[in-house]
Amino acid sequence: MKTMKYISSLALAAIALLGAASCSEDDLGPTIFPDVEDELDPTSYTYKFDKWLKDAYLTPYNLDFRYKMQDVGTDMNYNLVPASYDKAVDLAVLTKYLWFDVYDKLAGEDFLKSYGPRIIHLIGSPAFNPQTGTMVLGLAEGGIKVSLFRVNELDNSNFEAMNEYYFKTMHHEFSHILHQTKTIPTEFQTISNGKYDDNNWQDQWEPRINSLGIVTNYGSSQMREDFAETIANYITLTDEDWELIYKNAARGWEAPGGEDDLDASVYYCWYYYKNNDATGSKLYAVDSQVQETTDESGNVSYSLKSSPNTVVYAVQDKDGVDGVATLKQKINVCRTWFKDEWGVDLDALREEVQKRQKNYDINALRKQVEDVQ
Amino acid sequence: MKKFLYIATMLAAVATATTSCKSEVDDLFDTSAAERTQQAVDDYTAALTANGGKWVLEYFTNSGEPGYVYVFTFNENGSVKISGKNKWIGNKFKSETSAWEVISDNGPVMTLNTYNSIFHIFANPDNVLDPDASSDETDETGYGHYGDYEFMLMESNDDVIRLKGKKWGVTHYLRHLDPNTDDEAYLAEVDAMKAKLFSSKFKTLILTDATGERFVLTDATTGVFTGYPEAGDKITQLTNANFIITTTGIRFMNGFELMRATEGELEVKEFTYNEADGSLVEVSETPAVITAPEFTTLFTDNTLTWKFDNAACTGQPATLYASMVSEVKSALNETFKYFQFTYDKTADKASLNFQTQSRGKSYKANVYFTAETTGDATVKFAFDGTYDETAEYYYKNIPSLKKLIDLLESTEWTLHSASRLVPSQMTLVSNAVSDDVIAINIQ
Repeated sequence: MKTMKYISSLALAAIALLGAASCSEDDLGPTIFPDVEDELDPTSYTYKFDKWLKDAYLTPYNLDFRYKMQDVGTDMNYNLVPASYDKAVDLAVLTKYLWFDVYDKLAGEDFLKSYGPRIIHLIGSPAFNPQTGTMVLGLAEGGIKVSLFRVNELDNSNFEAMNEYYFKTMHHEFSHILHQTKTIPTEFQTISNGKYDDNNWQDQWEPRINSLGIVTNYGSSQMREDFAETIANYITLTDEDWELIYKNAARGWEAPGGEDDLDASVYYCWYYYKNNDATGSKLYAVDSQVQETTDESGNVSYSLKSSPNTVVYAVQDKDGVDGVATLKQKINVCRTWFKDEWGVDLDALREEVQKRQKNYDINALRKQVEDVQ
Repeated sequence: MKKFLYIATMLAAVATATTSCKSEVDDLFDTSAAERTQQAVDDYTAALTANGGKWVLEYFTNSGEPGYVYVFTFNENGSVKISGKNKWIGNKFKSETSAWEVISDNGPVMTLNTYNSIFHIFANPDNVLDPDASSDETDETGYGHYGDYEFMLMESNDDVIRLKGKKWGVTHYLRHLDPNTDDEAYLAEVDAMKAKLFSSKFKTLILTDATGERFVLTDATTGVFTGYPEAGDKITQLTNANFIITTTGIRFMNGFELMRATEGELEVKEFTYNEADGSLVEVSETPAVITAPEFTTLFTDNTLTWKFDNAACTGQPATLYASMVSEVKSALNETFKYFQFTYDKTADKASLNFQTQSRGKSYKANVYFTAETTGDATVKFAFDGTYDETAEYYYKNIPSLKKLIDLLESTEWTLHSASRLVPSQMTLVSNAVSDDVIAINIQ
């Protein structure tokens, strides 16, 4: 018992010793990071543009508009080059005018400040995917960053091309950011269920995709892409573009050699006529071969241009989908979602974008940068 | 037991005391890692802009194409003027300004972070149509030339910075230039060196190492040498390597490993141009040398034609040439056009070929000969008396022609050239009368 007491005393002494030798709490020293000036240098080669970006994007939207390439900020699997300075200026001023200013006007100044991307990264080249032969036009990463590719190809006089490569992409990627915050309506998720093909979307014929009630090939890859494509195309495409989409969506189509016959000289057709022989078998015709005639009563008939007496028939729409109704249903779901979830009138947004993209003055927009003091 | 427990406990206490924490760790460096990286960034920024900020970049993309020379002027305001001249930018001098920066990214990295159309073309994933390609098809791969535009700054002194491409890992060098260097003049100097080194006329070159082993090199004008040991197998022992032409010579991207005829390899990395004899001499204590084949081999090469440069001929050849011109005019009222050593494929013989002209008609004639190599650079002519019909007519009516042929046959002639790599101008000097000189130029 005495021994145990002795041991206990020693153990206590050891613990006391441990306590005495234990570490003292370190005081926080000065930062290990060097002081780096974050003020813009007025002598810098890019000062005017940097200052404009700061005033136009960073201060109001907390958005870093990166035009100087940072390849660590990209997917290193792609081979990319920086955007050119001049193209970056054009795209920056156009983006402000055609996107940010529109949302400011219709959704309030805080909308993009709250939900807009935190980084827009411009990249000069396309992002090729050599394995699939596809080209990435834009990426929205983590809901905070939008990367835009192919900036060096920007043609500031062609808004349709700019829509295709940049602004439609921006609206598309922004739609992803929005639905990552407030989920895609269940109704939209079920409309085209079973019609998506994530592996072969790039090989599809877009008019056929329209007839399935999907606005673009890329939209036919996944439901979430369909959602973003529906919104982006609704906002940026002109009325004429939509008329064509609806026209295609309403038509029937057939693949003369069967759907899998990619070697057929004509892959899909909207028209056929009867072979002038005993068999009366179907012969297919494409748009350029067919003459459309509308009589006084408004009835439409078709004939072969090369043989006006040959009656041509429109292929019956047998895909089981009312393409036009489906597209309109999707737009309506998006319209409601924008209104209910975000308080934004999608039609007014579209109208404003349409008005601006047909009436911009690139020189006046550039002058904002040139006039920076 | 008590004693044992006591000792054990004491030992534990001592061990515990000696392993206690030490609140301060001695710093190996005076500053933090972040501060040192920032210091390296500042140092490299200062180095690149120092003394006018003008540098030449010896730039490589992939091993299948040559290196390219660019002149960079780094400015403190973040702009860089890049000048170049190569086939991808139209083989014309071009200069363009864009942005640059040294950033900290696992160490200091020099980035050319806005697009410069004369430089980033090599990093562009769009395939650029090769102006030398026969087909106009582009096989889009998404890789382009595998060129870098972000470079890790590996090491430097005042004159040279070694860079490593961040994505593709190729080593490049920046060499400091005088601030007054004119970009276009500098690139013209590179072009001039290129012309001194290689010519499409001389498709084969010989590399001779310090032991005397010879290697056959081809494709010099493509910027990617192909080589094999002369005494070896030109299929199984074939290797290749790309290089860059600078103002001083050539440097291989990753060295050039040539297989020896028997066993082992010879690796060469860099050669400088020797103005004295127009050869390329390896930068080494036991240098290899690159030259064209021997002058006699070139002179007797069936694929080459050597034209008399009568203005540069001296002695009897000059006199006889002038007489021949005069006699052709006076006797035949024809104008003598040229005189050359060539090969007549129809007759399958070496030929002294000449042409005259009269009233819009041309007359070509061939006097056949053999040229026997009698030494390292000497030849002996022999005319066997055969010529084509046209030549027979001149041979009988132009006395100076016969005299010139007799002169050629009368002695050995030694071949000279100022360049051992591009001997497109040579002289045949009579071993009998040193003033008798026939100047010839390759056609």
